[in-house]
Amino acid sequence: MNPFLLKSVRRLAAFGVFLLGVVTLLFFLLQLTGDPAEVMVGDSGTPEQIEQVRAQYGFDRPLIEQYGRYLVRLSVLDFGVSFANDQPALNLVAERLGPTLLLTLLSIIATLLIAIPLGAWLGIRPDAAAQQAGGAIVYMAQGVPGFVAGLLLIQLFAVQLRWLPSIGHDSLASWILPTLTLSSFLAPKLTRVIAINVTEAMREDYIRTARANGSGLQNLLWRHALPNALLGATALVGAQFAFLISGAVITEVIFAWPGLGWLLVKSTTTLDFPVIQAAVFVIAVLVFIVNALTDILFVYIDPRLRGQAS
Amino acid sequence: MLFQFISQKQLIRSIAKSGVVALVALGLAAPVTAADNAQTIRVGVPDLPPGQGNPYSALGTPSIYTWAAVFDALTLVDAKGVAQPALAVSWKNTTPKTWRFTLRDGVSFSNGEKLTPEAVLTGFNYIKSGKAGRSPIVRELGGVASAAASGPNTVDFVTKRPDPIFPNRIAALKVVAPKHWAAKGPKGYAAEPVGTGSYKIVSWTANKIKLVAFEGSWRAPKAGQLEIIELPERSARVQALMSGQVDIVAGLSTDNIPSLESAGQRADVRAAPQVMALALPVVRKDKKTKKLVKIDTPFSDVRVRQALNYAVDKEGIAKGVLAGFAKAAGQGATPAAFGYNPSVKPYPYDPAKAKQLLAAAGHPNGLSFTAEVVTGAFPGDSEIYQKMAQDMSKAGIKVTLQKITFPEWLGKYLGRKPWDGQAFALSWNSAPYVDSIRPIGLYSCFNPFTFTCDDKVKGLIIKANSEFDRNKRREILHQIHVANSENPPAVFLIEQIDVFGLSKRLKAFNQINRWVTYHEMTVN
Repeated sequence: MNPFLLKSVRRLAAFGVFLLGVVTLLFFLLQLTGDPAEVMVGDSGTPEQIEQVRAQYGFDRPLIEQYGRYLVRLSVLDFGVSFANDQPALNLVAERLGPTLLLTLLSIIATLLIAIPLGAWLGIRPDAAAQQAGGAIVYMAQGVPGFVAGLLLIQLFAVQLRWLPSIGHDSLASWILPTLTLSSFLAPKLTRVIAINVTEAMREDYIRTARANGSGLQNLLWRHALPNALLGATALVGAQFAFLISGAVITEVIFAWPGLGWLLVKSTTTLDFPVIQAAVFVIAVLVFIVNALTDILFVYIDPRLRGQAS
Repeated sequence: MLFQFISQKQLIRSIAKSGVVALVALGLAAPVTAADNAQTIRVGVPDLPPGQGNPYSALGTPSIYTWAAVFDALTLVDAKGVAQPALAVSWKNTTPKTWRFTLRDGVSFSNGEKLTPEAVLTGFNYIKSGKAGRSPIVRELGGVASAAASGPNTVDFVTKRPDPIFPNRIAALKVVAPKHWAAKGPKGYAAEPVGTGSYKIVSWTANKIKLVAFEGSWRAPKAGQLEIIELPERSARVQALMSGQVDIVAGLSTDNIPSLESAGQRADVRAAPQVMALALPVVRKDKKTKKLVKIDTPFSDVRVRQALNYAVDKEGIAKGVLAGFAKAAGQGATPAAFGYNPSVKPYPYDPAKAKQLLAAAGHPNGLSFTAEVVTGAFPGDSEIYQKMAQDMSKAGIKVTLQKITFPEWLGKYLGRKPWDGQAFALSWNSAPYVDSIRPIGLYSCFNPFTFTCDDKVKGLIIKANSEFDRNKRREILHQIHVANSENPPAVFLIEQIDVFGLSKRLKAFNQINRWVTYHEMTVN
């Protein structure tokens, strides 16, 4: 078998085992959070109503039987219906996936557009006063929690200046503040990584050689230093995708962005197990796909790996 | 140093190119155009109805903020706890157990169907069919035996026992368009709800409901459009209001008021139909025998429960935590609820008296207990519980506050799991029918999950439930409040409040027990 194919099959199999572990752990952890039947009937429910709901949803069956049925349904991607509104859980998740992916993608783009030039600027002359000050600001920005950044952006651009909306996602303008907020989760970290990488790259012999051959700053930076600096940055963005999804949870709640994170928060507070299970499943698959894509991208941008892959 | 050959100017030029690209790509450079929203009222709420547009899926907040625009019931309970005409114009008892409602003439649903007795019976039959299993209205209408049309414009409800407050109770049953319901079923109706209210829904997305005026409504609105937007974060709701993106926000706290007012917006603060309290369980229902069993607790002694009430500075909480907008509570009803007894005053703050009572009850060195509380449900609730515990410590009572989630609380309250503590938070909620009997029933032997049982109160409840004369019934409820004050089943804390934020362009805001009267409102 082709080594690349074999590697892919092995990786898929490992992911399958990982996914089974995730759904199993989640199933049993959710049992510890409470009884959805109680939440469904609320504090005005009667004992009879609770029992009726438990029977209706099969909560009265032995746990191991519930788990078995859950796995069987899962094999055909049937997560059941939402306890809140009887809609198929996977449909609800699918509806919310688009806005979350949009937000995450926009924030990655924004992060790159901020971090690459800023990191290059900081890294190329790390000892200059302006860069030192800039580096300190980036360092401090890394310590600002994302939700604080979001609220500050809203206060400035929506409340004080009234330039941008702070709720919904109906217009291009309404995308800006959530995008910047989610970018604030990763941009400072990425900026620092790029700055360090650029600084190190600029000390390398090939830069001296290129300089000696008459390369200008633009050429040195964009053709020689940055491509090497970006290798580490690419790995960071890929590895931090799951972190960005968790950042999206906070961002979506603050900006009323109807995404997966927000759905997950709501479902957790109401013990809507099918939706939680579907959402976590989809997030796990997404993280796997992004990690795989990052590896492929790595091969594409790092010439040393191209030979190994082939 | 190698970097010395790179000038700062070169660097800035190089970086600026990337920066401009970034700004354009993000749209930061694009001007933001103001939308013409002169006739659109925008409302920010913590949550949209979880069960979408099925009016039987929920009863109180947050669904009530949407139901108020779309649906009507036969009656609407006013701010004084009195049923007022809505889809019914009048009602009377034809027998002690039969209530006859006469429907309003000329009422249409937004899909063109007419209001008929069949429409009223459609929802009722669903509630009684067993298919509405988890609907909170099932329990609210549990005392109704049957319902039938008694004429072309009248509906009779027959109750299992005489029910003097049935006109209040029936306010929970929203009326649905019968043909549309039959065609769509509960699930389809939830996706495409139709009502007799001021607005009809044109779209329902994950975070927003768009509605347009239903000109043919019996309570036609003045504004052309209404948008109800889900804004789960309180701070986000406040900022949306301050930035002019919404006109009404629900679920605020008193600490939001100064910032709203400084931004030129307003706050509407009024008493909620709820009294915040800490329940002091003394009995539990045995699961097998269903009989009441006494709990081994210091609260069995009435002097201990009185001491706890003396030990809390309720006035201090109302002024300190809720900025004077709330009032100290001394009974399980707010002044709006029918049967509220104005002569029952809150226990005065008297730590010395509390110590004296504790000593007399055999606790000269004070006592300690754990209270399980849920926070985030009411304005300032976390601070209120902390202040309560702080006050009690001055009387030698050590309270350990154990914060639990609402699902955890429910499991324990519904008797499915044991409480870890000796006391727990439980508000006296007279909504939806704003009558004292509702919370009194919860704090009595009649609660299916009872934790307290006073025979005197039990007898009075039986009397109140069969008394049709309003004055006599009010007098009985007064007696119950006196009994519950003398033999308190809870530590009464404060009468809770509802805080709405309003934009300065919004006119004629009103809410009746959280039922927002959108149809009266306009925007500049």
